[in-house]
Amino acid sequence: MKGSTIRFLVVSIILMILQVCVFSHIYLFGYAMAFVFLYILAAIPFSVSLNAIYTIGFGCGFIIDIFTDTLGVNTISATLLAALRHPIFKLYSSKTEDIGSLYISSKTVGMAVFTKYIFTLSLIYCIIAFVIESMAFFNILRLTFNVIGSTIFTFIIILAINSLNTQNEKRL
Amino acid sequence: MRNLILFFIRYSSVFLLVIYITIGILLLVENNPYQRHLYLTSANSVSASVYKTANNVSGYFHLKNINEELAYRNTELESEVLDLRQRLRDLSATEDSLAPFDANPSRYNFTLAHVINNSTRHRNNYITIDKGALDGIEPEMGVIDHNGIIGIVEIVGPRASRIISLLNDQFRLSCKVKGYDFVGSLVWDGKNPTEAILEELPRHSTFNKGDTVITSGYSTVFPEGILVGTVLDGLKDYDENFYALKVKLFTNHEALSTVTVVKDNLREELKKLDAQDTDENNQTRKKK
Repeated sequence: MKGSTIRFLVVSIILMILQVCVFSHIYLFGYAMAFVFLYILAAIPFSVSLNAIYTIGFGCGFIIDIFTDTLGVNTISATLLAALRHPIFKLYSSKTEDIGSLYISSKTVGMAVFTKYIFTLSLIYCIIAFVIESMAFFNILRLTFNVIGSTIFTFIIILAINSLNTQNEKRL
Repeated sequence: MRNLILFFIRYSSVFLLVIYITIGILLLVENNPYQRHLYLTSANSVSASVYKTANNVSGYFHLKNINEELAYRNTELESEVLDLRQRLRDLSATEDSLAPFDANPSRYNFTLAHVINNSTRHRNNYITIDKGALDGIEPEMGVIDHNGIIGIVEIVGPRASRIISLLNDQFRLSCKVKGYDFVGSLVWDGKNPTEAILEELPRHSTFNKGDTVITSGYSTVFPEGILVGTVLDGLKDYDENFYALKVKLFTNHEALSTVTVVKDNLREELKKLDAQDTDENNQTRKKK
């Protein structure tokens, strides 16, 4: 197994633990929650098969749901996000084949593309998760604050994780 | 088979995505009370609308049976109404408030029948029904439907009977306008199957258009109060001595299906009394 793969696995486990133990209990100003495990779904190389990506997304969401007692919410959201991540990336860059088996980061795709990519993923995930959780639009204002707050919070944390993780990677 | 397997392999990612989403939805619904309630509520409304549509389609095929049941129930209710009317009349007429409520048993019995033959275009029209002597049908029984008067039984076979229709020269029925005591005879003039003439009314009587014409009860054929039609117009020149009314019939004789044969349980007794009365009058005349 490659060193980068082992590193990625370790990072993934740490992020899942952090998500379950720390970030699931943080609600900034009562609205914003961070979904740091999205970094795992965002960073997987595009050379990995779709089946594997869907399984990883399902698995991550399911594990989070077990520990946060919200069975189904993160499972559905993470699975959908795993299906959408490639089309979302294509919105901002057409270099998917050039990236190949490299992990997606600011060093491999560029900061501009990575920022937009992560922000869009966070936004879509937050929309899906909060809508499924509320299953209604009767409190649209609260839903909006939840989505925007959580998107920004998740975006900032993932950027921070990315910068910590890519200190030693080479840039394309 | 090989192509099917290749198909599944080619689109395996799509199937896998669908499976994962389905599992996620199941987890969501099964383990979250709020989502479960919403799912059940919306599923109920969706399934209710689907079942309603399916029921509308399948219900159409049961209309015949439902129609039979309704006609039978209608017959029972008509018998009950006549019985209650009779009791009400008896109660209001009696001075003794302690008179037993069940003093008079039900005077009329009703038998359901289906029309198997009908005519409306001749001068003398007849109707054939699928009930006969074996079903308790006798000549001179009245026949009605849910709208009004149909005719009178003329000939009875074992399993079928012929009825003189209201649309027949020979048919005469004692009727009155509801709310008035003037009694006349309802006859058909042979022109319009939807209209009849209520004749032999006093010339001084006045009626309004739209007044309801009902049976008078002065016969052993039909109970009092059976609907006949509504007053269309007055015919002052119909007869020199009497006033006549043109009546719009309630019954559509061109579309008969289920009818009710009325049996008057007092008919034999009343006929004997009439015969006795006639004999006495004849004897009185002879003596003179």
